[in-house]
Amino acid sequence: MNDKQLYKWRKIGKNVFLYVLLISVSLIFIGPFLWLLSTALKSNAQDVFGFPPSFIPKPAVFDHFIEAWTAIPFPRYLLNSFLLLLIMVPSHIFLTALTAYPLARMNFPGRTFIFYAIIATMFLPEEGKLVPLFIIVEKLGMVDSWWGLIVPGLIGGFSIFLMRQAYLTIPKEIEEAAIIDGCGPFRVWWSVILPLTKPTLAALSVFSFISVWNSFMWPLIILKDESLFPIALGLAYLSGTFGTDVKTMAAGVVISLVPIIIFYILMQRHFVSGLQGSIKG
Amino acid sequence: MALNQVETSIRQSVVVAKKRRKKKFNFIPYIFLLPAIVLLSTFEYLPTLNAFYYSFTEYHILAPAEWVGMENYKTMMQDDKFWKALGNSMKYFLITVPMVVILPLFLAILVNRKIKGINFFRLIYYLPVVTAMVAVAIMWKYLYHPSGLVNAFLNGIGINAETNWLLNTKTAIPAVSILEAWKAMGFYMLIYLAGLQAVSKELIEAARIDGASPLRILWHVYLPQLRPVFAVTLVMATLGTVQMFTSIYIMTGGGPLDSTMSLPLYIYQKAFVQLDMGYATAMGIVLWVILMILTIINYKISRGGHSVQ
Repeated sequence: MNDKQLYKWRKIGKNVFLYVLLISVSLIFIGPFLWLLSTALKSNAQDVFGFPPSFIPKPAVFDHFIEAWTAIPFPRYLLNSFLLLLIMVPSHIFLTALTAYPLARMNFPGRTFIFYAIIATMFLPEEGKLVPLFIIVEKLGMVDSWWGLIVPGLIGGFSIFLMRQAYLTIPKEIEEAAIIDGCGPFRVWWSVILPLTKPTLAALSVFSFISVWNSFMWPLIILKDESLFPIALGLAYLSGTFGTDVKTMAAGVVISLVPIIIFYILMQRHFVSGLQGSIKG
Repeated sequence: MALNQVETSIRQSVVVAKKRRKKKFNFIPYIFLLPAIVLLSTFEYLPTLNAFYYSFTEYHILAPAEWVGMENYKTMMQDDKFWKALGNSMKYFLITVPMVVILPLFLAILVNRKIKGINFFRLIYYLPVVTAMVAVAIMWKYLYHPSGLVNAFLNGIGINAETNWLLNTKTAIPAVSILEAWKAMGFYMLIYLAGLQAVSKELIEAARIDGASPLRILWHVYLPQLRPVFAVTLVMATLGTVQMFTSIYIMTGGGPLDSTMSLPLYIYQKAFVQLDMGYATAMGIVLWVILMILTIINYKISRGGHSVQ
């Protein structure tokens, strides 16, 4: 064996070791999900908590998925979450983009003050204002309705901050050209500047999507009517009542995870870029 | 030169034209800002101001708030459950923070290379981050079952384990902390990855040529440059553990015997189960003060690190 061959074998050995390591670490993160899936697919005859634990359902049955879908109001919860996404993500992005624009691109009295007042909301106590916020929402008659979920979440300091950063990177000349061409300020914003911020808009949409789909504490506080529950709250509610039926519950959790995982795989690029943006900012 | 002059003169005339148009008070920016101002005053500033007021009152949602002065804060000092919750937060902090500040760095080093399929592995390590805490907490509840996967694994490697993790006052906090860390690691991995990729390639190359071992490169080249990243992860992880709510709510509900109770969960129970809104708000303000102090300390530590460098 000459040196070249030795080098080649060494490299292959190193790569094999690397892949073994990468795959073993993967099992830590994906193993619980696989166990959940296999549990949901096991027939009633197979013991979930037997020893040694078995990852292979023998036979694989879809009974529990059907049960989760029909016996408990899973489709309702899923539909609610999808509707909330359709309402909340676009309105949040629209208002964020609208608010951040003059803060980055216009000069007017009070700009600095308003900007800092908005940024300061990031440091206002989430836990401290939880109860008073509930009381305001209650007085506005928005408790136990989607209004109470949607309206307080329409805008947030952090997204405005990120959006402003995105506007700041656009050269002034583009705007000036549009103004000379006779565009009004809303036209300039909507058709000239906004399209240039697509990467940030995408990242913000991804964050908004995830937070709407996964939100739990606030819906838990303001919703009583079960037919209004989004998926995360519905799951928590069911784990209280259905918790002992492990296989059906597992099927329900799997159903709740599928949309977010598909979304994640489709939008993975924006997760990284959005995260980097948020750290830079 | 001439071209530059033309350009500046055009720019000046644009500015002049703009000024002429803006002679009247320009209300346009305020139209853009109006919805945000209304929303943020109603749902951020007003509740925050109210919080200070309510914290000095006895308030059950049905009857009007009644001024009681410092009573809520005095009650808090003698409330065992409040102190227990604070102590528990400390335990969560001590277990979770080292896990999410240190282990993800090794994950980032592991995936910071250009080999086939590396994106797939990054995707998998990050997967728990995007899933709902409710869903993974239910899942881990089953894993922690006395004859669940965790005990099966321990038995498999020769440790005899029959613990009911979540029903034992000694193991419940570590169990919940491990779930929290498991879920967050991918997030911190990506932060470290961005940090690693920002380290200058020349520096590493130079160290390698000088014959430094990979471990020494990690210690002497990577770590000093990652110091600001450590500061970011430390702050985020600290704030995260003090605010733990959903995982505890789902897995233990604060039990057994309040051994896993966190301050946010206690506030929630006081306010929305026992409807003691004034007291809950007072605890909320204390929690906020704690978060602020921790943030300031963290920043001070990281700044200190900088000046030493």
